[in-house]
Amino acid sequence: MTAAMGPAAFAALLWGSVALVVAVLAYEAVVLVREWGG
Amino acid sequence: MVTPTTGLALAVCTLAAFTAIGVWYSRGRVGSVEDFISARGSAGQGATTATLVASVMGVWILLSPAEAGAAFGGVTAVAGYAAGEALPMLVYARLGPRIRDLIPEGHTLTEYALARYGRAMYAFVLGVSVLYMFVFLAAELTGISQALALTAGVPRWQTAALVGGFVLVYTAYGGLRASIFTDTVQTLVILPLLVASAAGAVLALGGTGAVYEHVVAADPNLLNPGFAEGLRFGLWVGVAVLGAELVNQTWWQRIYAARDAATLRRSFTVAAVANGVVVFLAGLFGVVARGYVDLGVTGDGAYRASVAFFVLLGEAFPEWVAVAVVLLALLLVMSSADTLVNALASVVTADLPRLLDDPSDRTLTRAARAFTVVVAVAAVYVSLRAQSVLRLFLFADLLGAAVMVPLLAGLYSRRVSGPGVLVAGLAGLTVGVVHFPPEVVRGVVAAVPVVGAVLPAPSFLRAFLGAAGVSTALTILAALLGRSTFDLDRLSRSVRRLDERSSDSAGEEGER
Repeated sequence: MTAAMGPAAFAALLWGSVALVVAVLAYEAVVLVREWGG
Repeated sequence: MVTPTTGLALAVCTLAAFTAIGVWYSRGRVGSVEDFISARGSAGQGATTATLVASVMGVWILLSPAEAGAAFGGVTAVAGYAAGEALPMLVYARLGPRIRDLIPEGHTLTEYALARYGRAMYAFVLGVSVLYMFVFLAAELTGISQALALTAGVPRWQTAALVGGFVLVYTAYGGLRASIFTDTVQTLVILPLLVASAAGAVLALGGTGAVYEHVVAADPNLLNPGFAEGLRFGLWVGVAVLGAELVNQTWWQRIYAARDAATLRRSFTVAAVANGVVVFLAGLFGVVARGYVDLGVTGDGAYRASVAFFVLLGEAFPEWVAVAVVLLALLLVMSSADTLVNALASVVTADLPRLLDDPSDRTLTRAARAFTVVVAVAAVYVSLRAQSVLRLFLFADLLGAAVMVPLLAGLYSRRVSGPGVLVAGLAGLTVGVVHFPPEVVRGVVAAVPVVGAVLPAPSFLRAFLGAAGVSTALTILAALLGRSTFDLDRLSRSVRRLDERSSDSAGEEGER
């Protein structure tokens, strides 16, 4: 028996991962701007 | 498919641009060997996080996690791989402040091994650490050569020589400072490129609905979160990665490069999130690839899961995505190669004051640069000659899994001794080796009289859990039964700055 996740869960997993990378990038950019600016 | 000319032009422009950035930033900032190999207290949170992300993110993230997703268990295998990459960063967020506190003027993990445990454990840790880092470096050059050959038809020797040569220029000039700064800029380019590549790929394939249908049609277990095979893979690969990263000199350098303990803790924690999610995303490409191309996973056709990402790239993506991925791969390889070249040079350089008669700072800086050249040239050579370098990766991981707890226990326990942790590490390694599946190791063990006849069935899970479990249990036993009362404060007196080292402290080593 296999129980693949549904299409909505797959989409959430994929786009959620992309969103998390974007969030880390935005956070990192803000920290760097503060450091380089200050 | 990108043409060879475009691929080469892209490679040269990218490599030249980052070499210029590294050289420009380093001018006037490398005044001593300390600047070259430790950059002590120089990096704020942003730079420290960025260098932790960039140093982990080699071109391997476009190869191994995708292979795990395609061939070893779908999303569960990918999730295990991602957790395995995140965990060492979280461990270092706790270990790092302790290391700085006990050894405030340190540089390398081998210095610590020598001062805490003596020469035998030092030699063991030196061998394990150098093997892992060198294999990682050579595998990176092999990986980028393979990637550019697949996507742009560039001959492998040209890619390896170009990448090795340009990285050598700015790393030999600016050392760790150049590496950290270029890592910072590279992270700011790598993460958007990864996002653009992932989004572009999914859209080019018709959106998540279409991708889902293709993957489920190929094998529904690829998207089964409870798939036992994937869970088993995720477990052993997590232990393997943890072991390897805990003997990786790269992180010890960055523990000292961070401005202070709070910066270190925050940076390693953010990097844990970043590294985990990036590996997960990269691994999903392998899962997706199974839905669209024949990777030879089920036994039909040539096995191509190890290059799943690039196979998919060549067959399904528009050219702009392919160009973005080639650029991404180049940045990935640069960001980890410069780190590894400098880390390997630092391990040897930090040992020189014990081997030479009171060397000057200038001598040490020159030696560090010379070792940088030797390491880079050797890595290019090995990457072109040894086709099986990737097989060594798993064995280096196994060594790390066996030695990680015995090595680091000495930061907390006064009662563990050099002989005790050495026995624990070797016992763990023995258990790991007798279960280790690759024929290159198993064939040697099977040839040993008596041992060969009683060799247990091969299993990566038992090999890695056995190596880590047995060495951990014996280390705990050694701590409970040991009579040694090592003065941990002695570590700070034994390990000193290289540019202020007094000749009397240089002789103090090991437990006596």
